[in-house]
Amino acid sequence: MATDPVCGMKGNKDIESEYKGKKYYFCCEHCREEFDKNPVKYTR
Amino acid sequence: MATDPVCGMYVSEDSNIYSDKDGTRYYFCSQGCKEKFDSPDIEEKSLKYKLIIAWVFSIPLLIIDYLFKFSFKNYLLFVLVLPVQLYSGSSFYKGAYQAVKNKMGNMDLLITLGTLTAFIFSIIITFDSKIFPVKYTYFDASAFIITLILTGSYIESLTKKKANSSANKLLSLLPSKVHLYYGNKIVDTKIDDIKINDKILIRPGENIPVDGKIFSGESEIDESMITGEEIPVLKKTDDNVISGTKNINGEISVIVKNYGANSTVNKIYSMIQMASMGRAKIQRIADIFSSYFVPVVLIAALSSSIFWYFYLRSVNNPLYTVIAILVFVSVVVIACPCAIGLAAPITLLISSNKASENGILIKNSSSIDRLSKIDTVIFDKTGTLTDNNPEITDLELYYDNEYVYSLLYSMEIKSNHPVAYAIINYLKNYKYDILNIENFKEIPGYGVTGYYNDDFIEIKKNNDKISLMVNSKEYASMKISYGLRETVKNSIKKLKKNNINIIIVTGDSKENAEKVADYLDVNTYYYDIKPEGKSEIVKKYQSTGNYVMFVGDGINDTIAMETADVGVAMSSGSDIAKESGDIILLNNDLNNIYNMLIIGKYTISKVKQNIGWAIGYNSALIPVAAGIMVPLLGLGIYDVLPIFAALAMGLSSTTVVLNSLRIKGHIKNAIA
Repeated sequence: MATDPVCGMKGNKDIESEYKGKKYYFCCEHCREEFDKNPVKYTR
Repeated sequence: MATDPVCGMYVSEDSNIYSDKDGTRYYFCSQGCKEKFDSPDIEEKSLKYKLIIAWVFSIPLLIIDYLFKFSFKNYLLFVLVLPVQLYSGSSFYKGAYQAVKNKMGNMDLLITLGTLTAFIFSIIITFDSKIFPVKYTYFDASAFIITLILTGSYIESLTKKKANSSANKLLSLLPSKVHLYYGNKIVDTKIDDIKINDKILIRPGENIPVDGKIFSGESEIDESMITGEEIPVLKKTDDNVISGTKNINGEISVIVKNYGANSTVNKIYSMIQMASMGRAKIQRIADIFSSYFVPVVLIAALSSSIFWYFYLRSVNNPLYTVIAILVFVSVVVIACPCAIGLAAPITLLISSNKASENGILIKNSSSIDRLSKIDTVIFDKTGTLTDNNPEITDLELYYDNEYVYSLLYSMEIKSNHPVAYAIINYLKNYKYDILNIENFKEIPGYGVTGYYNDDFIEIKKNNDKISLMVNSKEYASMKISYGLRETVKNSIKKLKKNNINIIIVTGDSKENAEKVADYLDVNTYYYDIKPEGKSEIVKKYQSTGNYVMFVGDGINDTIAMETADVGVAMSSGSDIAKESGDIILLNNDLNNIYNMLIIGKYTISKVKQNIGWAIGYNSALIPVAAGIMVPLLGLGIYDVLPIFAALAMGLSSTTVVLNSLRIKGHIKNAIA
């Protein structure tokens, strides 16, 4: 189960984003947009 | 996307589970969350009744079970246990049913399995004594599992209420009745019965019930509860008043702009509540642990039960079924992960309340993890380090005075920028006309533009001045000056002493930036930076591994605040909910930046401590329940082990709650 790195909820397989070759999954579009704005913030 | 106000989950606005309250629609992830939201008091009352019934029947049950011996004893125990089992335990069964329906495991499921196993086992013994080789029942265990765990839940709900004291104090600032203008009369009416644009009267000494605008009267208002500002503010006609503040000495009449759930004080209250519901990264460890825990516990309970069944049978002990069942009951009850589930939310609730007492509003609790790691603080200069109310100095005019004043006034009256306020304020003593400006635009970091009679008008930054340009020709220029906030020097010194890297950014000129940086003894500063540039600077530091906090004034620093690991907005006191940023500083005391870092560190370490403790506690007690002590104490311990398991369960939650409460004192000492 992938966790949404923005809100900490369960990620949805259809809503994804890639950063430094790794895929991340999100609960909703809102979280993906947040993530894409500044991936560094959520990936360390 | 809406947020469930009870559990904090994101919910689609298409959801048909919603509730309308005070003119706002709230969406929920489930019916259960909706019920909790609609009637929290009923929920608490029902818990109280269940607990009373549980104790009233459990105590005589225990006394009769251990002290008396008579022929129909088991039947009497059966009658005594029924109210506990059927009424007090009902919420556990409901939760367990929902868990099974959703193919998940939760603590209700474990409790239900434990108590029902002991209950059904005892019923069989009572009504058909031939199946098992024992005569005594375990109704005491099935009842006490429910009673003790409910007691733990009740202590938890009382503590939560206490932890929420500063949030509750906010709501208590709202009077329940208002004096409403009704035709020529004034009638007292309930606050829920008023509408936007109603006119109300507020007498001296009363708290202000709504957000609104004064249309008559003047008075000094104590806004300390919202802004932290101790000195009362004089408010006159056309000034805004904030709900929850106190009218000191004048009678004022106010037009209602926001009330109920939309009022400032209610929004602050909701934010404090939401903080405890957010999912800090650390909470995910607890979530993952809990999600695996239930199946692991069930396997452990079943396998130890099977072990004892076959082992005792092999050594010809007639009690093999009885012990196997008691082992199962003890393990599932002792291993309930509810203390782990509590570890983070209760700590977040306590620390967000403590923070709000100091004027720090934690809007986004998932930023708490990052807050605890901050090593770099970037301050926006204007409006953050300096006061947000600049003054105009050295106005020079290169064209007809009245025309220039009219252009300046007509352009700036359309803007909310602090510089616009300063210009409007300055023009109070001069004569001007109001001109019809078309196509007005406000460009962050640049200024304002518009057209008057086909002339292109700009009021923009021009090196260290502000210039009024008409078709690119300068008609006037002025300088603005900002004063540093009082607490700045001390606050920066404290942060530096704690090895926090301080950086200043500003859209202002080199000269002004240098002046402030020199005064504050800050070596790194950036000047002439546009709003987008500020976020690039944040990213630059993040890319070198720093955890960056950006402190800005919330107007043109939104992007930088969102980019930063933690964005802090200096609030203007009203419209708090609209402010961007993870944390809002209600008062303008910059010492709170240091306090925030302390709160972040203490909160995370307390959550870690709680999770570690709860996991350790559960893991250590499972082997005891599974029978590791039997070689030492004999099989006789299973007479009391199921009750001991329930007691341990109740205690583990209570310990987590009490341990979390200690954070209040820690924070108080650290920031004193």
